[in-house]
Amino acid sequence: MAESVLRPAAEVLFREELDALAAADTHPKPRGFRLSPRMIRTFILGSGDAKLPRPGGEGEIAVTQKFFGDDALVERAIVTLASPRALLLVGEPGTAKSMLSELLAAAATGTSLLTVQGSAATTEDQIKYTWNYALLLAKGPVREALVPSPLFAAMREGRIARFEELTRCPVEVQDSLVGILSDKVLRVPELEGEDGILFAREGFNLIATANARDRGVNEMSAALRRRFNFESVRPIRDPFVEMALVEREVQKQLAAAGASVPVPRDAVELVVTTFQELRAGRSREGVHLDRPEAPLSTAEAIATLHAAALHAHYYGTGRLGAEEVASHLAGAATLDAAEDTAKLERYVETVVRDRAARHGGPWGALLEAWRNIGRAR
Amino acid sequence: MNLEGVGAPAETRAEVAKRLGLSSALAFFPVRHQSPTCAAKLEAFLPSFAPDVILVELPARFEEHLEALLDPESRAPFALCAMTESKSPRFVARRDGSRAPEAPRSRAYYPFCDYSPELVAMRFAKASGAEVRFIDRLDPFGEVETDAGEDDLPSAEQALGERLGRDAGAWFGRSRFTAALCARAGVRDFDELWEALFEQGSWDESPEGWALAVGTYALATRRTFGQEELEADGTLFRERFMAAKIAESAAQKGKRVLVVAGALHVVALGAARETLPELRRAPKDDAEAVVRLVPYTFPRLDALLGYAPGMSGPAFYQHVWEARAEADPFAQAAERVLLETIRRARAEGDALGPADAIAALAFARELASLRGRPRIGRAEVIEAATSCFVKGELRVAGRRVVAALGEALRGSRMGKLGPTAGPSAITRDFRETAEALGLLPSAGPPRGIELSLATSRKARRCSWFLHRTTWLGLGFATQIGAGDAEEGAEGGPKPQASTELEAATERWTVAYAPEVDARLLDLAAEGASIEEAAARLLARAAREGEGRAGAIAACVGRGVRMGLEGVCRRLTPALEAAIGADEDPRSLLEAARKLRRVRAMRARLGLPRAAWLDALGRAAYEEGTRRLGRLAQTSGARAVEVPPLLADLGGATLAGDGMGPARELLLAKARAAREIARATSPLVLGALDGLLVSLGEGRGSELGAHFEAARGRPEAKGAYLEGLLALSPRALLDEPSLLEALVAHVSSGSFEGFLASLPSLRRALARLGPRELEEISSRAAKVLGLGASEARIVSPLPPEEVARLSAWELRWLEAEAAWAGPSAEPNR
Repeated sequence: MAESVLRPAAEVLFREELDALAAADTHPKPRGFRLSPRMIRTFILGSGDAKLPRPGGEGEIAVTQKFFGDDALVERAIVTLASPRALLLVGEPGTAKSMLSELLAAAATGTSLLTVQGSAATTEDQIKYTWNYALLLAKGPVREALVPSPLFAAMREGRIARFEELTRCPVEVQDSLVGILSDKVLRVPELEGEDGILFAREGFNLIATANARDRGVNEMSAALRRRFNFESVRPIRDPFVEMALVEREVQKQLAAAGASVPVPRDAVELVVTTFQELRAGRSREGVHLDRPEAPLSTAEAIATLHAAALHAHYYGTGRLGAEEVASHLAGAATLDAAEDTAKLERYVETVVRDRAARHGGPWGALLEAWRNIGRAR
Repeated sequence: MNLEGVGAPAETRAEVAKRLGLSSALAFFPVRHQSPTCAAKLEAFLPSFAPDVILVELPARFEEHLEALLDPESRAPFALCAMTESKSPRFVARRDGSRAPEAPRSRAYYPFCDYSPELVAMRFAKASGAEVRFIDRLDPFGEVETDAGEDDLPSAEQALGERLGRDAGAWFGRSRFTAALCARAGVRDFDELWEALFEQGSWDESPEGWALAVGTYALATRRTFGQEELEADGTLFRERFMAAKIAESAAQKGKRVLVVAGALHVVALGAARETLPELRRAPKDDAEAVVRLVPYTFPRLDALLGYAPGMSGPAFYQHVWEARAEADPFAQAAERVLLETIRRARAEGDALGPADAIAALAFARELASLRGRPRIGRAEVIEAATSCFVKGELRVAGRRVVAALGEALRGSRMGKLGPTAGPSAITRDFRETAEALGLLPSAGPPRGIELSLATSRKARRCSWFLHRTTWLGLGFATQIGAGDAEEGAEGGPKPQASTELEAATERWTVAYAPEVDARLLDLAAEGASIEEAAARLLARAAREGEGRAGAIAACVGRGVRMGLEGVCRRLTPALEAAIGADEDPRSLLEAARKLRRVRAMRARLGLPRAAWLDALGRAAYEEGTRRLGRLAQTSGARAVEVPPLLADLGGATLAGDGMGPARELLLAKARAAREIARATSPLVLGALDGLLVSLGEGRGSELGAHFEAARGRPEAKGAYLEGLLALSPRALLDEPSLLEALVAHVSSGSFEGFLASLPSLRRALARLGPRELEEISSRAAKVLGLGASEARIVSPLPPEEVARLSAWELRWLEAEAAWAGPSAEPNR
């Protein structure tokens, strides 16, 4: 199944690892959890050099690291999920909030698919339940006519539900979560008797994500905010960690796309360094920079290099060079605001020019490519 | 992770047990200088060992202060402060290579709190009658020559250049063994590792078991360093001195001797126990230093212990220490800190309650459990509070909680000295310095003093001292004619301040009163000397101005006046960061202006040009220039702040002395800002026009048009002219179209309109000198077709006087109109 699906769920993609961890798990588990907090941590942060016996087979399996940059954040997130409070991951776009929430849900309660995608058009029905209107008309309000939402299903089965982009929903719709998170009960007034009330089973909790660039979490009601523990997810600070991650992911995506383009370390360094410095508003030499509106996240760096490599594969020489990097850098920087181009221009004409003059090499090539593109425009 | 987690082989543990010899007549107990678990283990060990002599790792010459240290009326924290005066100081660094304005004092602090193992040992000795000897040598100059570890210090302490005594070079923090253990235990740094292994992780260990584990860790760490490194650091030299001191005491037959010293030292000293009798007497410790016992505070302890020799968060550890008889002192300390955090955050407006405290405590327990730690540590408390109390993004919504948490962990306890300690160190320093400078008047009325700063070195030292006492609020000295321009740094620009700041002669009056001593008592915990206390308060003021370039630059200016250039130099990173982050152009240009004045003042005093000052000034001018668009949005009462700032900006650019912004940048930004100012303030628009004219870029026709376009309020035209003439006083003479527009306004508009604009017009024209006014009058007369004799001469009065007279004139005209009765016009 995994081969034919464009993007399998985390519990499918990492089934072997999860099974191995479950088989080796001797630590206490919160009620309703498939794995103990320690094993969830290992699933997300990797087992390092240690290996686990492969369940039902021969040999051993190493658990890969899937989230980079802040181990303590992962630990706090796990502890929150084992507590009565829900978890809200807040941060800039592209900081792997959704990926983290998917991994946590898959490891803790076995599925990451019970997900509500928040938007301005999200209604309370989509959060709680709706009806199969044909059955409703035929049989009236009966249990089988009820269409459960992912949240409903998570409560019924004792699993972790996910709520993406919670703060993009209208505030009054968000507030329908207050009762659920507070009492862990969902009432269905249309149904009578025991069917009219759903008590959440052990293991139920909620992971929500919120984008710091959209409507902020400040618009959430105080009542709802109190039901969450907030964790701020930040871009990866360590350039070497970010470079390794970007390189690995780009290569993985290129292999999946069937494009055999080598990804030179220099190209990765150019993109990651440029993004890190613009995000920080300061170059490593101390030059003050205007921060672009575009998030320039790790995910954006991966997308930029991936696109540049595909460009080289389909239209170029099959080698990822400075021309491709420069042209896709410009595209990444102008995602959110046109004036970002000027900020990137200034970065190139100050920081890159200075480095090109002093060191030449990839920075020199980037400067030349950038100017060539400018002349072509 | 428990003690087994140290992971040393069994033979190493056996070797350590032999070296410590905890059941022999000469025992070594390893300590970390501020560690509640260590202090508790030592406290439990002492009665069972029953030492006759306790040898403590403190400089031997400090023994004269033993009685004061153990004064029953003293209350920790307090510290022994060793001060040295050096011609070439090596640990109060002056890294810019500039000429030192005076021989600076180096200070090394040896702080004690209730949970300092050394103090626990000394207090036991006093109670049991055991003898106490100090075995280390005072070696401040050998202490630190590099900046290792400095990045960990908070900015204020970096600025002060303070050091802890007894810093063994942060060996633990930088050892490969520690790095490997951190990676294995999944902890972030040495402090977290130490907590996990030896604080909350070892609370239930026996004293001997704890000492053995710490000793094993220390020995494994020590083996990762070569002898050359230990020799170069001075560690081996100190240990040879300590060994000789130990040998002296161990030679006493029948006495049980306990050595209480840093873990890295005891594993080496214990190994040499067999050779001790062969050692010669310890050489005399003759380092020149003044040693004083001073009160200390938890905030200072926290700031200085943020790296290897001790642990930060003194209030948390004090709670642990006070609850040491309870089953789980760490949980109690966590609870107290979390409740205190909630109390402080609630006082600032956060809606937190007991349910949050319960949630956070449970969270901290679970987090510790997930990490395999038996008890809650400081790291878990911090993370529980931020996860459970902050309802939003940490950097945005967490400020109050994080500040409250910092306060709760740090505490505010201030130490007190008993009568044995005598007068406070700062009181003695004040008297000695004032007497040495001839400033201490015997009695009677205030004495006047005149100081020629440019010619006399002593005068400069006097000036620094007097500025320091003023800054500290001692009420001892008053500067005559100083004004308050620079002291009130956040006020509007005050031109006379420039004169005072740049003056090479200062006049003061000094008078001693008992209130001076009262204030010195308040300042006792701020430092052992006037210089140190002034520096500390300055660094604190700079820290409070975090992110505001103008406020930090004011501190730099103040520091230079107080002769604290070293501190100013060390404030550079904070100011640099503020210049990069400050979005307020007024603050940035104010900062630039102050820095330029500091440079001018230094030049007058004959001091060499400071590159750091030039770089900061240039950065502030450039950032301020980039934000001219925002400055152009200034309106209302704050608009009057704009012309002086722009005048200074233009002056800096024209001076071409390397501090002002590039002319092209300024022109581009000023033109863009002018478009914004059209819709906001005529005063600011006029000032921007004036700036462009002064840079040779204004066009006459534009000025006349802008003057004519200034409508809306009656004073708009006058305000435009005021802004323009503030920066370009000759604009009326050089730009005929402007003069024509002015004449047209005066001669052809309605009389009411003219009357209403008169006060602001007069304010604007009062900026001109008598010659310009006369010239303008005659040109205006020509425009009107009048003879020169008919042109009115406008009196060149000061602007304040003109404003006062104009207001009076307006009231008089209104009164006159009222006397004349209602107008006959039907619409009025």
